[in-house]
Amino acid sequence: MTEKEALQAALAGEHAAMYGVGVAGGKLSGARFAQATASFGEHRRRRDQLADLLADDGETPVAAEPAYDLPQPVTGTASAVALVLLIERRLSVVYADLVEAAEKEPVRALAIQALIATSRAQLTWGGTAQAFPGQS
Amino acid sequence: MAGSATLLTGCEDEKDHSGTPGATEGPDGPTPPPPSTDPVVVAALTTAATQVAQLSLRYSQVLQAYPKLRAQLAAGVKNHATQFAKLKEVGGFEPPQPGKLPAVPGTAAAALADLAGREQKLSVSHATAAAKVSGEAARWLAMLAAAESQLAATLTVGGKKKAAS
Repeated sequence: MTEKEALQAALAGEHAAMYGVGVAGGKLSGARFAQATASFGEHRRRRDQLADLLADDGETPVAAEPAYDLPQPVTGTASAVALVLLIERRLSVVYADLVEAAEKEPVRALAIQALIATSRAQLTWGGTAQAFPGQS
Repeated sequence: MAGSATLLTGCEDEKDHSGTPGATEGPDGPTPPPPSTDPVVVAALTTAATQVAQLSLRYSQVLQAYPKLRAQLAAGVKNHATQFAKLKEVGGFEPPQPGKLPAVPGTAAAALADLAGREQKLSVSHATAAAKVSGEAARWLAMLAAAESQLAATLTVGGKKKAAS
């Protein structure tokens, strides 16, 4: 995988994450809703950073899909929390791929920080500590 | 829900990308890639492995002093053992013995806070080391930093609740 391919994959992942966290947030309330709102903002921030890196390199950033298939219906708090945890786990793998594929220092720096952030976020959504978060 | 794309398309494991990065398929299953010979990479991995061994030793000391913390420290003990084995495999070296550690803090809560602080410091150190190398070595070091960040958070949140009980 090239750096550009890994950047586009990460951007596609963030587009999907925003969609999924938005859907999950609709089923959450109180502290969980606040966490989902913060998570949405974090994914949007990283989406913009990734799009900027691609644009700076003369690439056209991949666009978001109109809608995404969810792995399971989101019907309440439990399935909403499980969806966000899945999103953060998959994004950890995507960012670990980007760390490995990165050629430029700013790309690698962003990928490392995003890998750490998505790994920490897993704990918020019921995940447990792993030996190597992001291992595919 | 009818959608046009699977959530997080591109994140699915692909046959040629799953398992150990850089591994190849042998007759008895995946064969790990040969250890790096780049001195910068070897030095980074050796340092990381030594630091992980040192932290494992600290966990053992804390467990010996405060056996009631066993459940809270279980993930750290297990994960650091896995990490040490993997770093040795990737780097293809035998890291030096860890140095002597200072005395364990006088209370279980202080010992947990000490461990959480050590995890966080190592996370920063390994993230910095990951940024200085590339490819597979960068990935292993970044994943190590992420794991340490998780443990720092777990020990901080769980520790405050349980060490007081």
